[in-house]
Amino acid sequence: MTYAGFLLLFLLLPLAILVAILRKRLLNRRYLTVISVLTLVALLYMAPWDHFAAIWGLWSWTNDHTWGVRWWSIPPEEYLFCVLEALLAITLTYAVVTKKDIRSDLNIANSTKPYNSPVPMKDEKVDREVKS
Amino acid sequence: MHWPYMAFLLVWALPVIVVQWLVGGKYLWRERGQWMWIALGLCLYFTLADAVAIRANIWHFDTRSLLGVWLGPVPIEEVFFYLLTATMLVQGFVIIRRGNTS
Repeated sequence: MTYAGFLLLFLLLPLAILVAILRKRLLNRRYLTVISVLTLVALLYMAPWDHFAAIWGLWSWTNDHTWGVRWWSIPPEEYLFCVLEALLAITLTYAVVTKKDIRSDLNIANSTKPYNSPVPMKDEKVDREVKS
Repeated sequence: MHWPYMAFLLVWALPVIVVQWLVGGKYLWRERGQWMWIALGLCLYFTLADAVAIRANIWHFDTRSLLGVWLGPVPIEEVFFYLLTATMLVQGFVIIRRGNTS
């Protein structure tokens, strides 16, 4: 297995499954902003650290399992690993956290409001979901 | 001479985690029952994936820089790497999300 194959199987595939499950829930401006910023920060924070580890030889990659390119002593696949790990971790967290919110919103709606209530719900969680 | 892997990892990751707790400890503590399991699950998953990558000879380590504790083919440092990176990401998301809304 090459590094690219590893990324495909262990990072891109689960991410694609998550995206396929969540679909429209991902079209949320706050989620998209936060995940972009955090992924960029992760990449910028990881690169110098990985660079020093690579030039010290703490770890290394075999040439015939990578594309053979090194950017700042690091294979491009490694940057992709960082980006995909961030996307996967954050999307999974988003999925779990918003699932709970949606459920509690429904419970609040069912228990305290008539079905066709003209009164807007003032619950903070509901406001947040609507705004975003 | 250079840093051993574990020291280099902790020096890199722990300051971020400390700052995250200083900034958003309130949210992190309140919601620990949720994000902790996600971070642990990710750590377990990536450790298993790491075992595959090491067995497939995609990357390898300088054993002189390791503590010498292994989980199968995976050095214990790698387990901590995945635990800490997943924790930084998950905590970061929880803090920004909560910090924005409540």
